[in-house]
Amino acid sequence: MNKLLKLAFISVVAFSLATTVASADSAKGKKLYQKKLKKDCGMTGGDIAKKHSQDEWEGLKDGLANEIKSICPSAKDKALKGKYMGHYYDFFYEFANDSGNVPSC
Amino acid sequence: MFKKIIKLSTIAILATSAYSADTNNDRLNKLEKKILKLEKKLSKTNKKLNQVKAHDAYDNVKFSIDFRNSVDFITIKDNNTNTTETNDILSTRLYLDMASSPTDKIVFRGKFGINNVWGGHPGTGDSSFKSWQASSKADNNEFKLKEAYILYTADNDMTYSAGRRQSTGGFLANHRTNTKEATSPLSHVTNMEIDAMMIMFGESFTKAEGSFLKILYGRAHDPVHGVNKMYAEDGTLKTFTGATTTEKDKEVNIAGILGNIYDNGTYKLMGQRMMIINTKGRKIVDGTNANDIKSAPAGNACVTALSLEVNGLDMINEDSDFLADTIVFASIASTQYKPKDGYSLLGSTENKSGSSIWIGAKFPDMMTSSGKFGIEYNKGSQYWTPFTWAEDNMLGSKIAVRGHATEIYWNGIIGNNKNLTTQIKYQNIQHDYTPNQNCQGWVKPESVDITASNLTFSIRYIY
Repeated sequence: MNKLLKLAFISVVAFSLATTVASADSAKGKKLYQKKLKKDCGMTGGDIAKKHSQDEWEGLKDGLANEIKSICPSAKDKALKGKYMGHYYDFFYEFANDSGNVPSC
Repeated sequence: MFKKIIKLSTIAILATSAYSADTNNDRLNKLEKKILKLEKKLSKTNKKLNQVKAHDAYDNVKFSIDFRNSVDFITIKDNNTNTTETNDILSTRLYLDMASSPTDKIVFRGKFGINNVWGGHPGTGDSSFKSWQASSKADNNEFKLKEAYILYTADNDMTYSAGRRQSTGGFLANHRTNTKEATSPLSHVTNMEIDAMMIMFGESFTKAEGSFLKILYGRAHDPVHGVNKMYAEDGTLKTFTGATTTEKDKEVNIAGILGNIYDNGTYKLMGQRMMIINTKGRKIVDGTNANDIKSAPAGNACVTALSLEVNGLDMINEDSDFLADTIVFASIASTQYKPKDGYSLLGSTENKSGSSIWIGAKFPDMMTSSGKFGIEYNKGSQYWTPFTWAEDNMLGSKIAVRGHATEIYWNGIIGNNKNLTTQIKYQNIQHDYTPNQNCQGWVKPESVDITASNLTFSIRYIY
């Protein structure tokens, strides 16, 4: 039974290793915001997320860097790198003013 | 004649074409106007829908699920007697989270928990099991209240809270439990379910970036015998009866402060100091087990910790994703147990201090897009006795070891579904002294040489 259980879980792990692809992450977005933007923006990520509804954030997805710059004119260019945008978007979308998500506390 | 017919026909065709063109233009214009009208209506409808969505988004209670099945392969070896015991334990843990925030000033959070051993024996658990570890230790398949508290945020950057607080899975423990957000106590010294009140002072008071201060006061033990029947019976204080004397029980309260000293998203420094007042120890009558009274209110216990987490090492190389996703941490902590005259704590009538260090790192596995490896090491002295009796660990609290412990783990996701995660974890714990697992302050740490190891596989569904 012992060996069978170990084998079963090793199979699960092997499957995990074989099938993952990169995807954006709202938790990463929150962390990135705190590291790269919070000080320059002078407000929490939640405050920014609440500036728009989920529909509105969807509409702003392609021009997200410009939208962040318009909300935080002091945001540095290196904080708005392309590779960060997916994560920022996921975070803002998750905590938009109509998402209903309760912030952690 | 024929020419007349052709002329007339031509005129008729031209007139019809002109008429058709005008009709088509009219139709197009009408269509365009209709489309514009429809677009305006759609825009108004969308606006209203978003308003309703925003209103109703917070007009409900949100439930979420954290469902984990694990198998632990445990080996415990007594190196003095050279005896080994092994066991594989299958268990299921289910957390049902609730959250609601009807206004931006009020948040309610709750959590029910089941922690069930497959084929276990409910009702035959340790009698010293208390409510502050009830849903954190694998026992039976009953739902227990793990958390239920309300937060009120005032305009002056202060927050008030009361209830069964989020106090397990705290700062730094979240890495090994593969939980995104740590709760606020420092898990190096606190990992127990706490019923308490809290006041939090925000950054406008504490000034340093990302800082806050929390002051807590709670209760771990009520001394009234049959406290739940207080109004039906003449409740009296529980009395411990020894062979030659009695001892009145007392309430055991917890008080302390904790907070972020600094947090800029990369460097996070937290500190905590907590005290248990009237912690349980031994009343000394004649020094014998027969006549001394165990579990008597014997004095006070204090814990102190300072923990630093560095979230991302991309200050070394900004372009390195590996370094950006690497986390390292280090923590130091101490405990002091101070018995009253005529009592002992941890087997001594004198103050006893213990200390511990804990270091760790978590970094991308370089094999999958989100998998992470982690490694941790902690060490504790003979009288090291933190309040970590609800730690999520089938071997008991690894952090509370009076010896040293090493742990390595891999966190991954199954398929491409972030809702389904998996973990493999291996722990090796070397006990140089008997561990304190249940706040039994009357037990002296005795010298032992026991090695406990645990290989854990788990699959977890989060929604």
